[in-house]
Amino acid sequence: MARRPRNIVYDVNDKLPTSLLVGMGVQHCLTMSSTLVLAVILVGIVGGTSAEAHNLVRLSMIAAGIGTILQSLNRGPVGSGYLCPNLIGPAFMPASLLAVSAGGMSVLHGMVLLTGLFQAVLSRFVHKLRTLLPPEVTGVIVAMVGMSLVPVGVSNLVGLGGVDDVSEPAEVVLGVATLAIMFALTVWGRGSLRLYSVLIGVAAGYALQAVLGLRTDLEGLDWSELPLFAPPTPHLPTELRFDMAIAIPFLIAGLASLVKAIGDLSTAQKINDDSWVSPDMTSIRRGVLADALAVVSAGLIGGMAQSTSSSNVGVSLATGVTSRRVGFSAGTIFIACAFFPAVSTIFVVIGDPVKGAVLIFAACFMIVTGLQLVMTRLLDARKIFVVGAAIVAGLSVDMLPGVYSNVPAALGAIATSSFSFATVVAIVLNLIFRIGISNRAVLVLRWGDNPPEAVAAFMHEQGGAWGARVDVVRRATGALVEFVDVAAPIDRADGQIRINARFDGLYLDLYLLYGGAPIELPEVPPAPERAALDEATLRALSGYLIRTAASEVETTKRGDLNMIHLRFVH
Amino acid sequence: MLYEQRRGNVYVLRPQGRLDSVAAEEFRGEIDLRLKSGAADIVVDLENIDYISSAGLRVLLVSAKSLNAKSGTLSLCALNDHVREVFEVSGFVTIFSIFDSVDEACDAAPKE
Repeated sequence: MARRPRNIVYDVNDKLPTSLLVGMGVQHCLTMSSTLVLAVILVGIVGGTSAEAHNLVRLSMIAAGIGTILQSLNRGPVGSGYLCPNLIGPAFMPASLLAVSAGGMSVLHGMVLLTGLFQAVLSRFVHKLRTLLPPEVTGVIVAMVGMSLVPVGVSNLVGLGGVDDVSEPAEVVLGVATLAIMFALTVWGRGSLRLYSVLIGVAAGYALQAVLGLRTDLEGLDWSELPLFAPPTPHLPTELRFDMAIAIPFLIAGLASLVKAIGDLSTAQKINDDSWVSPDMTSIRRGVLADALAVVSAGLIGGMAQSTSSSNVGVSLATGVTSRRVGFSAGTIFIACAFFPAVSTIFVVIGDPVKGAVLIFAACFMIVTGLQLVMTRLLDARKIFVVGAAIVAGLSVDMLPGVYSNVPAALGAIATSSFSFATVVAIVLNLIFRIGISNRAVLVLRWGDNPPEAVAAFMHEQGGAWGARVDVVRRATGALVEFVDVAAPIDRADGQIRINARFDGLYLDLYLLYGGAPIELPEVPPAPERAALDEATLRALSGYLIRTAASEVETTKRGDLNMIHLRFVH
Repeated sequence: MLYEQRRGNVYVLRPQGRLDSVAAEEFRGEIDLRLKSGAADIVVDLENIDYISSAGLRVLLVSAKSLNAKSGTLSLCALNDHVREVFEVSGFVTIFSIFDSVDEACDAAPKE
C-alpha cells in the first residue's frame, strides 16, 4: 500500500479547494511555458513573422493542455493518473529544424504526427522494457534531464536565452532574485507560501522585470492590436506532408522522449509513495500512451512536438502538491489561455532570467531525485560504468558543443542533446554489460571459512552484479548471517552448507542446504531476556529472525540435506 | 576493530562491520576490560554496524546486565534501519535505551 511521504501536502489522490486548484494550475502553466520560446526561435530561424510565432505558440499550448489532461486520467487505457504535465519537447528541436528547412511547417507537423503514432505503438511494449530500463538507468536519465536544463537554465538566468547574446547586470539581478525567492519560500515558507513558491517567484520576477525595463522575446508584437478572444489558426490535416528522409531524427527524438516519459512518470510515482520500490509499468504504459497522444494532437492541429515536463514534476515535489486534479486544472487553463491572445502572450513575454530561475529550480530536484533513484540499487563496476559513462557522454555535449558537429544529420538529434546522448549510452552499455551475468549463483561453505564474512561478501558481489535493491540485499544478507552464525553454524551442519541464490528482478530466492539436524524457524519470538540464558533460546531467536527477514519461507528435505527456501520480494 | 571515546564519565564504544558471534565475543571482552577499569556508563555507537546477529544481541544483553548489576548503564545509539528492524522484530528494542546520536545518549547518561 502506498505511504504518503512527509513532505507531500496534497498527494496524487487528494482533492483541493477550488482556489488552490486554480492557483496550482496557473503555477504549473508558468512552468509549462518555459519552452514556448522554442516555437518563437523556430519561426524566427525560418524567417517567419511574430504573428506566425505567436500562432505556433498558442497551438502548442493547446497540445500541451490536451496531453496534460490525458496524463491525469486515472481510468481506462490512457493516462498514468499522475501529475506530469506536457510542454514543447526540447529533444525534438533539432529534428524540427530539419523538417522546417526541408519543407516548411507542413512537413514539421506531418513528421510530428508520425512520431506520435510511433510512440503510441511503442507504448504497448513498455512493460517489456523493464530489463532495458532498470532503475539505475532510469535514474541516470532523470538526473541527466535535470543536468540538461543547466545550460539553458543558466543562460536564461543571466539573460543569454533565446535570441539575446548580451548579458546585462540587470538581467543577472532579475534571475538571481527570482531564484532566491523561490528557494527561500520552498525552504522556509509555510502553508501557501511554500505551495505557491514558483508562482510568487515568477510574479515577483515579472514585477522586477517591468521595474528594470528589460526586453522580451516578442518585441515586434503590437499589444494594442491583440484581440481579447481569438482562436489560433490550426494547420489543416489535409496540408500535412511527410519526408521520410528525416524520419530517423524524429523517431530517435521520439524514442528519447518516450524514455524520458518513463523516467518522469517513475519519478512521479516515487514522490507519491515512501514505500516505492520499482515502477508500476501498467500505469507507465498508459502514461506513455497519453504522452504519445499529446504528440499526435500537436501534429494534427499544427503545434510543436510535446514531451513530459520534468520541470513540472520537480515543481510538484518542491511544493508538496502532486494531486492529479492539478493536471486537469493546468491543462484546462493552458488550453483556455491559447484562445486569449493577450493572456497567452504573457507566457511568452516572461523574461529569460525568470525562465532561467524556474528551470534551475526544477533542475535541482530532478538531478537529486535521479541520483536517489540510482542509489536505491547496489552498484557493481558494471553499473558504475553505465551510470558514469552516461553522465560523461551527456555532459560532453553541453561542455564541448562543437565536438560532435561532424556526426551525420540523422544522428543529430542524439549528438546535440545531452539528455538523448546520455540515454542512448546508458541503454546500450546496460545491454552490453549484461553479458556474463547469470541470474544464479552458488556459495559453498567449508571448514575453515569465516561463514558470516563469506556470505556477506557473496551477497554484496551478487547484489551488485544484479543491480538489486540495497534494502533487499541487506535483509537477505542479515538472514544468511543469522543462519550461518547461530542457527546452523558449520560445525552443527556437519560441515555442509550450500547456498543457491537466484534473482529474476521480481524475487530474490535463497536455497539453504545444510546437514545435521533441521533447525526450527518459530513463528513467535522467545522472550528477549531469555536469550541471555541458554543456547536453545538463542537458536529459537535466530530461527525467528530468519523467518521474519524473508517474504516467504519454506522448509523441506533434499536427499540427506535439509533445505530452507527464503524468498524476498524485490 | 573498535573505536573508543571518553566523554566525562561515559565510555563511547564504536564497533565496526558486523556484530556476529565472533565479533560479539571480542566486543564482550572489551566491555569487561572497561568494567574492570571502573566504567559505569557505556554508550555503544552502532553507526558503523551493518549487521547484528542474535549472538550480537545476546552479548549486548549480557553486557547490559553486568553493568546494571554495578549500578551502571549501557545504552545504544545511531542504529541504521536494518539493525533497528532487528531490534524491533526481536523485541530487544524494549530492553535497551536507544538514542539517535552519541550526543543524545551521553546527555542522558547519569551525571557524576
